[in-house]
Amino acid sequence: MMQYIIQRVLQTVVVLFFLTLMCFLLVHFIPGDPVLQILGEEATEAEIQKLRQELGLDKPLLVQYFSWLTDVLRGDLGTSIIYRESVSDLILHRLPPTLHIGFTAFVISVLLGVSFGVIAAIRRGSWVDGFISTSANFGMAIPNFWLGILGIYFIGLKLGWLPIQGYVSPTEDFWQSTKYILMPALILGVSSMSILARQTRSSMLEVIRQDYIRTARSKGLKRNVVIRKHALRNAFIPVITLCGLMLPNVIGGSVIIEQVFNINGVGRLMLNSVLNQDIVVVQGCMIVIGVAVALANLLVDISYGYFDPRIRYK
Amino acid sequence: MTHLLEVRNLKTVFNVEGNQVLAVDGVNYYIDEGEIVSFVGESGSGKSVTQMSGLQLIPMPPGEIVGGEVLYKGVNLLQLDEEGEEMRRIRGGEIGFIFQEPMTSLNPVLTIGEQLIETIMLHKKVSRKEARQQAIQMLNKVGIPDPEVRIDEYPHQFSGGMRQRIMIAMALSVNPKILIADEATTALDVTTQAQILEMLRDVVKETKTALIIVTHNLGIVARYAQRIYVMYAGNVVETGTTEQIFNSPKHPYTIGLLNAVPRLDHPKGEKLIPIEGTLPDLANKPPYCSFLPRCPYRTQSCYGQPSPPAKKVDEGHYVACYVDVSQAQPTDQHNALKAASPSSTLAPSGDPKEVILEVEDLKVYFPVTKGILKRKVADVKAVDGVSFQLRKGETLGLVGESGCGKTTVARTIMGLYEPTGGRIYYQGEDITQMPAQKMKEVRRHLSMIFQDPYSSLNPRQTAESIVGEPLIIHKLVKDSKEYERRVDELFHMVGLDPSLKKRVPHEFSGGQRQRIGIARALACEPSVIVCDEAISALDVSIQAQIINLLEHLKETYQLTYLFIAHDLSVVRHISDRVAVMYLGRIVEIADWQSIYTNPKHPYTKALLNAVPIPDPQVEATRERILLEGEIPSPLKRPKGCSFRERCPLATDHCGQVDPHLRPVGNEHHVACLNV
Repeated sequence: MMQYIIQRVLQTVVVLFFLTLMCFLLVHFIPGDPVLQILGEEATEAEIQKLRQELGLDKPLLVQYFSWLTDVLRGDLGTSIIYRESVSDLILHRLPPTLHIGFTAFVISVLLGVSFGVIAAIRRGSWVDGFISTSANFGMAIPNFWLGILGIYFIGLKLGWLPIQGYVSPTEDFWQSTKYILMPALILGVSSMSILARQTRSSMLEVIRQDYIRTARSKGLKRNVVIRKHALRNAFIPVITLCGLMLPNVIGGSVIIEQVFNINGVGRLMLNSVLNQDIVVVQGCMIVIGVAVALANLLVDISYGYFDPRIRYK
Repeated sequence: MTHLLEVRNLKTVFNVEGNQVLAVDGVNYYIDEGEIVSFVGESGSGKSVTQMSGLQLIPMPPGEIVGGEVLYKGVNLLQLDEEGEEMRRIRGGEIGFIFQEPMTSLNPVLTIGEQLIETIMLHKKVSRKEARQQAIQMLNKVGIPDPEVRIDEYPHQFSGGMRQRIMIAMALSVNPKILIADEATTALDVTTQAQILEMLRDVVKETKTALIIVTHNLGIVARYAQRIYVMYAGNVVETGTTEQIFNSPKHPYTIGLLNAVPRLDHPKGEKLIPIEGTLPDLANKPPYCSFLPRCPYRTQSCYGQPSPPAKKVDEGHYVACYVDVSQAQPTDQHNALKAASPSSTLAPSGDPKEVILEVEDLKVYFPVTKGILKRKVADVKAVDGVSFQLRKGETLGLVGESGCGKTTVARTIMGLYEPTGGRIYYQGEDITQMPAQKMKEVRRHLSMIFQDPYSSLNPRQTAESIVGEPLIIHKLVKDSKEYERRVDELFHMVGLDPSLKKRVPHEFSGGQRQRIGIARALACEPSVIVCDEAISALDVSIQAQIINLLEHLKETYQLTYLFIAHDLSVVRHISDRVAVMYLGRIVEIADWQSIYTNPKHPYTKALLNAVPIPDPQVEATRERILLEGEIPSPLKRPKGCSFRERCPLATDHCGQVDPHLRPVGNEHHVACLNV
């Protein structure tokens, strides 16, 4: 097991290396000179050269990369061109709402998606199964900004049950905070939830007809013990893979959801920075999101070992 | 007298796509305490469904028990709630079940200990600690070494034979009154099968458990069962004591089954008598006897009567047939089959000395990689120095247990694997070093028939295109007209109606699919055909048809066969010479007489001894030599002789010297230091 974990960690390090390399090269590949962006079109050649030196853009690419990487490893992501502020601070301030909503969305989608999937599989062919399967198809097909708008209109404006925009930190007022994030988190999680429900359903149906389930039944175990102890863990194995793949979805979706619900998170920061060509901030956001996804996938890989002993001993 | 278990008029149907498939059609049977009873029948006969119906273990829906009674100690189990307390106490607690597939019947994510303890705690109401103690004792009893340690391991860490022992331990751990072994040894090698069956018999004898052995293999029952039920198409067609069934079978189907399998104790030249035709469609059973279309003893009056009821012919011997087979004459067609000259006694055609294919010191290693850099850490030596000659017109049987490398040899000859070392000569030319263009020319002369007719044919290809593809690849036909003609001819050659050629594989039965596979192999007019377990997935009655077809084709087209199989009786029947493989090497090779009447290598002896003989008298007097342990992993080949650890003749010397094949008689070679 230890060897398996070490292997996964090393693989993650390799992934992160390529991630930073791509983020770094981004500056050099996209059109538009960041120096001109900062100084404006009327800048003199001398001013441009001075800033180039300041930013280190005159050195060879490799040197630039390593000095940049050292900074990144120290937690220094550079200075925003537009805001004239440390990118690390910018992101750090905007991170809590994004993480809060993203995490909640993820937990909701896994818990509900898996439960719906299991229920649909056990009641295969019944109206419950039909309802869940159809809803899941809708959930996958409807874009979440549209769901967001519908949610704001009906739940927020017509019924007045939940606030329609903004964010309150849970440390300030937990109850208020929950009310604020509930709708964005739910809507952000809908598509993942639908995909998970479908995958869990088919995975359960596959497992239920395996020989070892028949063995478990032939022992005289109760039906729910057979499902809980013998079927679920096996059915989870393909579902976990999917959970790992859902994470980038949830984080990527935050760009749109934060816009719809007017929340000052990393997603919104990134969107604005792209529009403003604030490359340093985009770079920083990409690194933070990339690291989060890579680490989450590492966790998923390690949890395989728990669910499937065959991986542990390979 | 009430029986421990008595089943009356059981009927089970499966509702499939709007059709009612009558899987069990009015079955009656009983079993008493301490008895060993066997259910015999081919696939689709309803023998497993019969057993599972009683415990309400069939999937419902689509399954449905539509009638009958299952009386266990006087209580009708079918009246109990499927998931109720009482049903669950009996299922698992009183009646234990061992299933066919040991590889998939244990839950892969739970330790075997957990799966055993769970069962014990459920039915015995003991503490976890106590249950663990009992589980260890049970594992010890079924012959799992180091049970204290191994109890915490997962199923994938055990071999198939070991897993089946664990299944048995699980079923027996709660002292059931009845144990049902549903094809429990079918998936295992002969030596392991013998170990398991002997153990099972000893255990049930000791605990007075009644044992039901469900199997398609009449041979294994002769030694163990006291009474037998023969099933066909959902009915019990004959029942009696083991002696009655084997010595005076009364139902044409029972007689057919006994004649369809080659036997080690019968003369080799005997022609197998297949049961013609196939199982009727269970969704549309005819109103008359369901065996009638295949029955060699059928009379006109059989058509006019309903399915025959069981009638008593002797004390405890019942048969469901209108015809008295001792008086009746089989049909002419059947006689013709019987009289046909046995082809296997014919001398090999062509010059017996002409070598068509030669394998010289063949080595095939598969690398084992480790770590993120995929460093090679070891080799799985699947084939480790195999040499033999295949002479023109002969059949060379290649036998050995699973994992011995026989299939790897076959695939390497066919060019599907790259050899690590050694040479393969086809008519004197080394084909391992041949340029691709020339190789394609040679490949035409080598053909292969695969094991599983269910998965080796592309499900979306029509039979015509499967059979005709080699004709196009090797450019053997000029135009579409010739192609059509040739495909039809190939269909005729294997006994298939060419009008079926537009169908896809799933529209054919297992036997027909194997015929398609054979037609495909014949298409490029090969001179050598490698048959890799070509008949082992088929039912015995179909098996005989295919063996006869292979023999007929060999004779007609002067083919040379490399016949790979694990069934020693079949290999004896079809082969001129036989090579025995163990752990990637040939340990003995000789003509068939020498191998079967005068085996030298202790492994060959053990293999032969493990083959069951379908005759209760022979089995009653026969001493079994049980081979202990299992084949070592080809990753860790023991030093010296690899059979040493299981060998009764082993001495210290065997641990040092690697035995090589050496002559011990006329063309008889053995790799053993002590013979």
